[in-house]
Amino acid sequence: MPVPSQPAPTARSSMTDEVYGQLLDAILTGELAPGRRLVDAELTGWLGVSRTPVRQAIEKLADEGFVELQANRYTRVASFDERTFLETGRVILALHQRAVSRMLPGADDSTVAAVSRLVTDARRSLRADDGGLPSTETLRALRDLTGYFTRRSTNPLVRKTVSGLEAQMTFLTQAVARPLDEAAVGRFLDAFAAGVEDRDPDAVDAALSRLVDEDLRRLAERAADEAPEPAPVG
Amino acid sequence: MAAGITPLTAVERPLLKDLVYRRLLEAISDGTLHPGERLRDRELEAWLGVSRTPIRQALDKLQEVGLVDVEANRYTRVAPGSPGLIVDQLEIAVTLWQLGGSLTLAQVDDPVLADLARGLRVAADTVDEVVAGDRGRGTATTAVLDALRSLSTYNDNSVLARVLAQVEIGFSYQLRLSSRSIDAAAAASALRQVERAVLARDVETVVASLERFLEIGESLVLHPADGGR
Repeated sequence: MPVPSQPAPTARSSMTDEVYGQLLDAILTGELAPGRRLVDAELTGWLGVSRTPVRQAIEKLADEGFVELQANRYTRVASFDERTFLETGRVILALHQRAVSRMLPGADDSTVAAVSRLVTDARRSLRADDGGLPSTETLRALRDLTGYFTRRSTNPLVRKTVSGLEAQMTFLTQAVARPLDEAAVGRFLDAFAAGVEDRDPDAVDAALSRLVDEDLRRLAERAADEAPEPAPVG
Repeated sequence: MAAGITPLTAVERPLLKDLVYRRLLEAISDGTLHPGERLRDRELEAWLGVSRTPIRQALDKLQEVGLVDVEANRYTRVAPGSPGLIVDQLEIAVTLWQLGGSLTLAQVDDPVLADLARGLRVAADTVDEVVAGDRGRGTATTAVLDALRSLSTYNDNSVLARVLAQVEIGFSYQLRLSSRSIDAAAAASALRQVERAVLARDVETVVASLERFLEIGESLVLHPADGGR
Protein backbone atom coordinates (compact mmCIF):
# COMPACT_ATOMS: atom_id res chain seq x y z
CA MET A 1 0.00 0.00 0.00
CA PRO A 2 1.51 3.32 -1.00
CA VAL A 3 2.36 5.66 1.82
CA PRO A 4 0.10 8.74 1.95
CA SER A 5 1.73 11.66 0.19
CA GLN A 6 3.05 14.73 1.99
CA PRO A 7 1.63 14.53 5.51
CA ALA A 8 1.00 17.89 7.12
CA PRO A 9 2.58 18.03 10.57
CA THR A 10 0.19 18.28 13.48
CA ALA A 11 -0.92 21.80 14.26
CA ARG A 12 0.33 22.13 17.79
CA SER A 13 3.78 20.67 17.48
CA SER A 14 4.44 22.64 14.29
CA MET A 15 3.35 25.81 16.06
CA THR A 16 5.81 25.19 18.89
CA ASP A 17 8.55 24.38 16.39
CA GLU A 18 7.84 27.58 14.52
CA VAL A 19 7.90 29.71 17.66
CA TYR A 20 11.06 27.91 18.77
CA GLY A 21 12.71 28.69 15.43
CA GLN A 22 11.69 32.36 15.54
CA LEU A 23 12.91 32.82 19.10
CA LEU A 24 16.18 31.01 18.43
CA ASP A 25 16.76 33.18 15.34
CA ALA A 26 16.08 36.31 17.33
CA ILE A 27 18.51 35.16 20.03
CA LEU A 28 21.21 34.17 17.55
CA THR A 29 21.02 37.44 15.63
CA GLY A 30 21.12 39.39 18.87
CA GLU A 31 17.67 40.88 18.34
CA LEU A 32 16.91 39.37 21.73
CA ALA A 33 20.15 40.22 23.52
CA PRO A 34 21.77 38.22 26.33
CA GLY A 35 20.13 38.97 29.66
CA ARG A 36 16.97 40.29 27.98
CA ARG A 37 13.83 39.39 29.91
CA LEU A 38 11.29 37.27 28.08
CA VAL A 39 7.78 38.20 29.09
CA ASP A 40 5.00 35.86 27.93
CA ALA A 41 2.54 38.64 27.16
CA GLU A 42 5.11 40.47 25.07
CA LEU A 43 6.08 37.38 23.12
CA THR A 44 2.54 36.21 22.43
CA GLY A 45 1.80 39.70 21.10
CA TRP A 46 4.96 39.83 19.03
CA LEU A 47 4.59 36.36 17.51
CA GLY A 48 0.80 36.40 17.34
CA VAL A 49 0.37 33.02 19.02
CA SER A 50 -1.03 31.75 22.28
CA ARG A 51 0.90 31.20 25.48
CA THR A 52 1.22 27.41 25.22
CA PRO A 53 3.56 27.21 22.21
CA VAL A 54 5.53 30.15 23.60
CA ARG A 55 6.09 28.39 26.94
CA GLN A 56 6.93 25.10 25.23
CA ALA A 57 9.44 26.80 22.95
CA ILE A 58 10.99 28.63 25.90
CA GLU A 59 11.32 25.41 27.88
CA LYS A 60 13.08 23.80 24.95
CA LEU A 61 15.43 26.79 24.64
CA ALA A 62 16.09 26.55 28.37
CA ASP A 63 16.96 22.84 28.04
CA GLU A 64 19.49 23.82 25.38
CA GLY A 65 21.02 26.62 27.43
CA PHE A 66 19.87 29.59 25.33
CA VAL A 67 17.42 30.75 27.98
CA GLU A 68 17.71 30.94 31.76
CA LEU A 69 14.53 30.09 33.55
CA GLN A 70 13.76 30.27 37.25
CA ALA A 71 10.15 29.44 37.98
CA ASN A 72 8.45 32.39 39.69
CA ARG A 73 11.50 34.60 39.30
CA TYR A 74 12.65 35.22 35.75
CA THR A 75 12.83 34.00 32.20
CA ARG A 76 15.60 35.65 30.22
CA VAL A 77 18.02 35.15 27.39
CA ALA A 78 21.12 33.49 28.86
CA SER A 79 24.10 35.72 29.50
CA PHE A 80 27.70 34.96 28.70
CA ASP A 81 29.17 32.20 30.78
CA GLU A 82 32.92 31.74 30.51
CA ARG A 83 32.93 28.17 31.68
CA THR A 84 30.21 26.92 29.35
CA PHE A 85 31.91 28.80 26.52
CA LEU A 86 35.25 27.05 26.98
CA GLU A 87 33.72 23.66 27.79
CA THR A 88 31.51 23.74 24.71
CA GLY A 89 34.51 24.77 22.63
CA ARG A 90 36.45 21.78 23.92
CA VAL A 91 33.74 19.26 23.07
CA ILE A 92 33.26 20.67 19.57
CA LEU A 93 37.03 20.63 19.10
CA ALA A 94 37.23 16.92 19.95
CA LEU A 95 34.52 16.03 17.42
CA HIS A 96 36.08 18.26 14.74
CA GLN A 97 39.51 16.71 15.25
CA ARG A 98 38.16 13.20 14.78
CA ALA A 99 36.45 14.22 11.53
CA VAL A 100 39.64 15.93 10.31
CA SER A 101 41.82 12.92 11.01
CA ARG A 102 39.34 10.62 9.26
CA MET A 103 38.62 12.68 6.19
CA LEU A 104 41.54 15.00 5.47
CA PRO A 105 44.14 12.40 4.38
CA GLY A 106 41.95 11.31 1.48
CA ALA A 107 40.62 14.76 0.60
CA ASP A 108 40.46 15.61 -3.11
CA ASP A 109 41.44 18.89 -4.79
CA SER A 110 37.90 20.25 -4.76
CA THR A 111 37.85 19.93 -0.96
CA VAL A 112 41.07 21.91 -0.69
CA ALA A 113 39.63 24.54 -3.06
CA ALA A 114 36.38 24.75 -1.06
CA VAL A 115 38.25 25.22 2.21
CA SER A 116 40.42 27.87 0.63
CA ARG A 117 37.29 29.75 -0.50
CA LEU A 118 35.92 29.58 3.04
CA VAL A 119 39.20 30.95 4.38
CA THR A 120 38.96 33.86 1.95
CA ASP A 121 35.35 34.51 3.04
CA ALA A 122 36.33 34.45 6.70
CA ARG A 123 39.25 36.79 6.11
CA ARG A 124 37.13 39.28 4.18
CA SER A 125 34.41 39.21 6.79
CA LEU A 126 36.89 39.61 9.62
CA ARG A 127 38.40 42.63 7.89
CA ALA A 128 34.95 44.15 7.41
CA ASP A 129 34.38 43.94 11.16
CA ASP A 130 37.23 46.45 11.39
CA GLY A 131 38.21 45.61 14.94
CA GLY A 132 34.60 45.83 16.15
CA LEU A 133 32.27 43.07 17.34
CA PRO A 134 32.19 40.03 15.04
CA SER A 135 29.32 40.15 12.56
CA THR A 136 26.94 37.25 12.00
CA GLU A 137 28.79 36.63 8.72
CA THR A 138 32.15 36.35 10.45
CA LEU A 139 30.84 33.90 13.00
CA ARG A 140 29.13 31.88 10.29
CA ALA A 141 32.28 31.82 8.18
CA LEU A 142 34.37 30.61 11.11
CA ARG A 143 31.78 27.97 11.97
CA ASP A 144 31.59 26.72 8.37
CA LEU A 145 35.35 26.55 8.15
CA THR A 146 36.15 24.88 11.48
CA GLY A 147 33.33 22.38 10.99
CA TYR A 148 33.94 21.75 7.29
CA PHE A 149 34.87 18.10 7.76
CA THR A 150 32.48 17.36 10.62
CA ARG A 151 29.56 18.61 8.56
CA ARG A 152 30.51 16.08 5.89
CA SER A 153 30.85 13.20 8.32
CA THR A 154 29.02 10.04 7.26
CA ASN A 155 27.79 9.73 10.85
CA PRO A 156 24.47 11.62 11.11
CA LEU A 157 24.68 11.61 14.90
CA VAL A 158 28.01 13.45 14.79
CA ARG A 159 26.51 16.06 12.45
CA LYS A 160 23.49 16.53 14.70
CA THR A 161 25.51 16.71 17.92
CA VAL A 162 27.98 19.21 16.53
CA SER A 163 25.36 21.47 14.97
CA GLY A 164 23.56 21.77 18.31
CA LEU A 165 26.80 22.61 20.09
CA GLU A 166 27.83 25.05 17.38
CA ALA A 167 24.60 27.02 17.68
CA GLN A 168 25.33 27.30 21.39
CA MET A 169 28.92 28.35 20.69
CA THR A 170 27.92 30.99 18.15
CA PHE A 171 25.48 32.40 20.66
CA LEU A 172 28.10 32.51 23.42
CA THR A 173 30.66 34.11 21.09
CA GLN A 174 28.13 36.85 20.44
CA ALA A 175 27.21 37.09 24.10
CA VAL A 176 30.86 37.64 25.05
CA ALA A 177 30.46 40.96 23.21
CA ARG A 178 34.17 41.49 22.64
CA PRO A 179 35.98 41.96 19.32
CA LEU A 180 37.90 38.92 18.08
CA ASP A 181 41.68 39.19 18.09
CA GLU A 182 42.15 39.83 14.38
CA ALA A 183 45.81 38.81 14.34
CA ALA A 184 45.18 35.57 16.24
CA VAL A 185 42.25 34.57 14.04
CA GLY A 186 44.33 35.49 10.99
CA ARG A 187 47.08 33.14 12.18
CA PHE A 188 44.49 30.41 12.69
CA LEU A 189 43.13 30.87 9.16
CA ASP A 190 46.64 30.63 7.67
CA ALA A 191 47.49 27.51 9.68
CA PHE A 192 44.18 25.80 8.91
CA ALA A 193 44.42 26.52 5.17
CA ALA A 194 48.05 25.35 5.01
CA GLY A 195 47.26 22.15 6.93
CA VAL A 196 44.38 21.31 4.60
CA GLU A 197 46.48 22.02 1.54
CA ASP A 198 49.19 19.67 2.82
CA ARG A 199 46.51 17.14 3.84
CA ASP A 200 48.16 17.13 7.23
CA PRO A 201 45.58 16.30 9.94
CA ASP A 202 48.07 16.95 12.74
CA ALA A 203 48.67 20.50 11.53
CA VAL A 204 44.92 21.17 11.27
CA ASP A 205 44.38 19.62 14.72
CA ALA A 206 47.05 21.88 16.15
CA ALA A 207 45.50 24.98 14.54
CA LEU A 208 42.08 24.08 15.97
CA SER A 209 43.53 23.34 19.41
CA ARG A 210 45.31 26.68 19.49
CA LEU A 211 42.12 28.48 18.49
CA VAL A 212 40.16 26.92 21.37
CA ASP A 213 42.78 26.52 24.08
CA GLU A 214 44.55 29.84 23.56
CA ASP A 215 42.54 32.32 21.49
CA LEU A 216 39.09 31.56 22.90
CA ARG A 217 40.50 31.31 26.40
CA ARG A 218 42.05 34.76 26.09
CA LEU A 219 38.80 36.14 24.72
CA ALA A 220 36.85 34.68 27.65
CA GLU A 221 39.36 35.92 30.20
CA ARG A 222 39.29 39.39 28.73
CA ALA A 223 35.51 39.41 29.03
CA ALA A 224 35.68 38.17 32.63
CA ASP A 225 38.28 40.79 33.60
CA GLU A 226 36.41 43.64 32.02
CA ALA A 227 32.92 42.60 33.04
CA PRO A 228 31.36 45.52 34.84
CA GLU A 229 29.02 44.89 37.73
CA PRO A 230 25.61 44.67 36.11
CA ALA A 231 24.02 48.07 36.44
CA PRO A 232 20.77 48.10 38.38
CA VAL A 233 17.88 48.39 35.96
CA GLY A 234 15.05 50.89 36.25
CA MET B 1 1.98 42.69 42.55
CA ALA B 2 0.86 40.94 39.40
CA ALA B 3 4.33 40.39 37.94
CA GLY B 4 5.49 38.31 40.89
CA ILE B 5 2.63 35.87 40.69
CA THR B 6 3.10 33.19 38.10
CA PRO B 7 0.22 30.83 37.47
CA LEU B 8 0.78 27.47 39.11
CA THR B 9 0.91 25.64 35.79
CA ALA B 10 4.02 27.54 34.76
CA VAL B 11 5.80 26.14 37.80
CA GLU B 12 4.45 22.65 37.48
CA ARG B 13 4.69 22.08 33.79
CA PRO B 14 8.48 21.63 33.52
CA LEU B 15 8.32 19.24 36.42
CA LEU B 16 5.48 17.28 34.89
CA LYS B 17 7.28 17.07 31.57
CA ASP B 18 10.38 15.72 33.32
CA LEU B 19 8.35 13.19 35.30
CA VAL B 20 6.66 11.94 32.16
CA TYR B 21 10.06 11.75 30.47
CA ARG B 22 11.45 9.63 33.27
CA ARG B 23 8.41 7.33 33.34
CA LEU B 24 8.57 6.72 29.61
CA LEU B 25 12.34 6.32 29.67
CA GLU B 26 11.94 3.67 32.33
CA ALA B 27 9.11 1.91 30.50
CA ILE B 28 11.15 1.79 27.30
CA SER B 29 14.32 0.69 29.07
CA ASP B 30 12.69 -2.14 31.02
CA GLY B 31 10.73 -3.35 28.01
CA THR B 32 7.23 -2.43 29.28
CA LEU B 33 7.01 -0.57 25.98
CA HIS B 34 8.37 -2.76 23.20
CA PRO B 35 10.78 -1.67 20.47
CA GLY B 36 8.73 -0.50 17.49
CA GLU B 37 5.53 -0.16 19.54
CA ARG B 38 3.25 2.69 18.48
CA LEU B 39 2.83 5.46 21.04
CA ARG B 40 -0.55 7.13 20.79
CA ASP B 41 -1.15 10.36 22.66
CA ARG B 42 -4.55 9.28 23.89
CA GLU B 43 -3.31 5.98 25.29
CA LEU B 44 -0.39 7.68 27.00
CA GLU B 45 -2.71 10.34 28.43
CA ALA B 46 -4.91 7.63 29.91
CA TRP B 47 -1.98 5.59 31.15
CA LEU B 48 -0.03 8.44 32.75
CA GLY B 49 -3.01 10.58 33.72
CA VAL B 50 -1.57 13.79 32.30
CA SER B 51 -2.45 16.01 29.39
CA ARG B 52 -1.03 15.95 25.90
CA THR B 53 1.39 18.86 26.36
CA PRO B 54 3.84 17.29 28.81
CA ILE B 55 3.57 14.02 26.91
CA ARG B 56 4.57 15.65 23.63
CA GLN B 57 7.42 17.48 25.38
CA ALA B 58 8.68 14.24 26.88
CA LEU B 59 8.40 12.45 23.53
CA ASP B 60 10.43 15.26 21.93
CA LYS B 61 13.17 14.73 24.45
CA LEU B 62 13.06 10.95 24.00
CA GLN B 63 13.38 11.49 20.27
CA GLU B 64 16.47 13.61 20.90
CA VAL B 65 18.19 10.77 22.73
CA GLY B 66 17.12 8.22 20.13
CA LEU B 67 14.56 6.21 22.11
CA VAL B 68 11.55 7.34 20.11
CA ASP B 69 10.97 7.81 16.36
CA VAL B 70 8.57 10.51 15.27
CA GLU B 71 7.28 10.72 11.73
CA ALA B 72 4.87 13.68 11.67
CA ASN B 73 1.27 12.60 11.06
CA ARG B 74 2.30 9.01 10.48
CA TYR B 75 3.52 7.56 13.71
CA THR B 76 5.32 8.00 16.97
CA ARG B 77 6.90 4.77 18.09
CA VAL B 78 9.47 3.30 20.42
CA ALA B 79 12.71 3.19 18.44
CA PRO B 80 13.26 -0.26 16.94
CA GLY B 81 16.60 -2.02 17.20
CA SER B 82 19.01 -0.61 14.65
CA PRO B 83 22.46 -2.21 14.87
CA GLY B 84 23.99 0.33 12.45
CA LEU B 85 23.28 3.07 14.97
CA ILE B 86 25.55 1.43 17.54
CA VAL B 87 28.71 2.30 15.63
CA ASP B 88 27.53 5.90 15.10
CA GLN B 89 26.75 6.29 18.80
CA LEU B 90 29.98 4.62 19.78
CA GLU B 91 32.01 7.02 17.62
CA ILE B 92 30.72 9.95 19.65
CA ALA B 93 31.09 8.09 22.94
CA VAL B 94 34.71 7.13 22.21
CA THR B 95 35.52 10.73 21.21
CA LEU B 96 34.05 11.98 24.48
CA TRP B 97 35.74 9.29 26.59
CA GLN B 98 39.04 10.30 25.01
CA LEU B 99 38.42 13.96 25.72
CA GLY B 100 37.38 13.05 29.27
CA GLY B 101 40.54 11.01 29.76
CA SER B 102 42.83 13.79 28.49
CA LEU B 103 41.18 16.47 30.61
CA THR B 104 41.10 14.27 33.68
CA LEU B 105 44.79 13.33 33.47
CA ALA B 106 45.68 17.01 33.23
CA GLN B 107 43.52 17.94 36.22
CA VAL B 108 43.60 15.34 38.96
CA ASP B 109 46.20 14.42 41.56
CA ASP B 110 47.58 10.93 42.25
CA PRO B 111 45.05 9.69 44.85
CA VAL B 112 42.17 10.55 42.52
CA LEU B 113 43.98 8.91 39.66
CA ALA B 114 44.36 5.75 41.74
CA ASP B 115 40.60 5.80 42.39
CA LEU B 116 39.88 6.12 38.71
CA ALA B 117 42.26 3.29 37.88
CA ARG B 118 40.70 1.07 40.53
CA GLY B 119 37.29 1.61 38.94
CA LEU B 120 38.64 0.57 35.57
CA ARG B 121 40.25 -2.53 37.08
CA VAL B 122 37.04 -3.56 38.84
CA ALA B 123 35.14 -3.18 35.57
CA ALA B 124 37.70 -5.34 33.76
CA ASP B 125 37.35 -8.01 36.48
CA THR B 126 33.58 -7.93 36.11
CA VAL B 127 33.91 -8.45 32.37
CA ASP B 128 36.23 -11.39 33.00
CA GLU B 129 33.63 -12.97 35.26
CA VAL B 130 31.11 -12.59 32.45
CA VAL B 131 33.52 -14.31 30.06
CA ALA B 132 33.89 -17.13 32.59
CA GLY B 133 30.10 -17.47 32.56
CA ASP B 134 29.57 -16.39 36.18
CA ARG B 135 27.51 -13.33 35.32
CA GLY B 136 25.10 -12.09 32.65
CA ARG B 137 26.25 -9.99 29.74
CA GLY B 138 24.15 -6.99 30.80
CA THR B 139 26.41 -6.69 33.84
CA ALA B 140 29.46 -6.43 31.59
CA THR B 141 27.99 -3.66 29.45
CA THR B 142 26.97 -1.65 32.50
CA ALA B 143 30.36 -2.11 34.15
CA VAL B 144 32.24 -1.06 31.03
CA LEU B 145 30.08 2.00 30.43
CA ASP B 146 30.27 3.08 34.08
CA ALA B 147 34.04 2.76 34.11
CA LEU B 148 34.52 4.68 30.88
CA ARG B 149 32.08 7.36 31.95
CA SER B 150 34.21 7.91 35.04
CA LEU B 151 36.97 9.18 32.73
CA SER B 152 34.69 12.16 32.11
CA THR B 153 33.24 12.60 35.58
CA TYR B 154 36.61 13.09 37.27
CA ASN B 155 37.03 16.40 35.45
CA ASP B 156 34.79 19.44 35.54
CA ASN B 157 33.60 19.80 31.93
CA SER B 158 29.83 19.72 32.41
CA VAL B 159 29.07 20.11 28.71
CA LEU B 160 31.03 16.93 28.06
CA ALA B 161 29.12 15.13 30.80
CA ARG B 162 25.77 16.29 29.41
CA VAL B 163 26.47 15.28 25.80
CA LEU B 164 27.90 11.94 26.90
CA ALA B 165 24.88 11.19 29.09
CA GLN B 166 22.59 11.85 26.12
CA VAL B 167 24.52 9.57 23.79
CA GLU B 168 24.74 6.84 26.40
CA ILE B 169 20.97 6.57 26.76
CA GLY B 170 20.49 5.69 23.10
CA PHE B 171 23.64 3.64 23.01
CA SER B 172 22.76 1.43 25.99
CA TYR B 173 19.29 0.93 24.55
CA GLN B 174 20.58 -0.22 21.17
CA LEU B 175 23.19 -2.46 22.80
CA ARG B 176 20.48 -4.14 24.83
CA LEU B 177 18.39 -4.78 21.72
CA SER B 178 21.32 -6.13 19.78
CA SER B 179 21.26 -9.90 19.53
CA ARG B 180 25.04 -10.05 19.53
CA SER B 181 27.27 -9.55 22.52
CA ILE B 182 30.49 -7.63 22.48
CA ASP B 183 33.83 -9.39 22.42
CA ALA B 184 34.10 -9.32 26.19
CA ALA B 185 37.70 -10.52 26.30
CA ALA B 186 38.76 -7.70 23.99
CA ALA B 187 36.83 -5.18 26.10
CA ALA B 188 38.49 -6.41 29.29
CA SER B 189 41.91 -6.20 27.68
CA ALA B 190 41.25 -2.65 26.40
CA LEU B 191 40.04 -1.62 29.87
CA ARG B 192 43.22 -2.92 31.49
CA GLN B 193 45.27 -1.04 28.93
CA VAL B 194 43.38 2.16 29.76
CA GLU B 195 43.94 1.51 33.45
CA ARG B 196 47.71 1.13 33.07
CA ALA B 197 47.93 4.22 30.85
CA VAL B 198 45.89 6.25 33.36
CA LEU B 199 48.27 5.29 36.17
CA ALA B 200 51.22 6.24 33.98
CA ARG B 201 49.51 9.53 33.04
CA ASP B 202 50.11 8.53 29.43
CA VAL B 203 47.44 10.46 27.52
CA GLU B 204 48.40 9.08 24.11
CA THR B 205 48.00 5.47 25.19
CA VAL B 206 44.72 6.26 26.96
CA VAL B 207 43.41 7.70 23.70
CA ALA B 208 44.72 4.79 21.62
CA SER B 209 43.32 2.16 24.01
CA LEU B 210 39.91 3.81 23.95
CA GLU B 211 39.99 3.75 20.17
CA ARG B 212 39.95 -0.07 20.44
CA PHE B 213 36.35 0.11 21.68
CA LEU B 214 35.38 1.45 18.28
CA GLU B 215 36.80 -1.70 16.69
CA ILE B 216 35.04 -3.84 19.27
CA GLY B 217 31.77 -2.14 18.42
CA GLU B 218 32.33 -2.45 14.70
CA SER B 219 32.88 -6.19 14.92
CA LEU B 220 29.59 -6.36 16.80
CA VAL B 221 27.73 -4.91 13.86
CA LEU B 222 29.71 -5.89 10.81
CA HIS B 223 29.73 -9.64 11.25
CA PRO B 224 26.18 -10.55 12.20
CA ALA B 225 26.47 -13.89 10.39
CA ASP B 226 28.92 -15.24 12.99
CA GLY B 227 26.14 -15.58 15.53
CA GLY B 228 26.34 -14.27 19.09
CA ARG B 229 26.77 -15.98 22.39
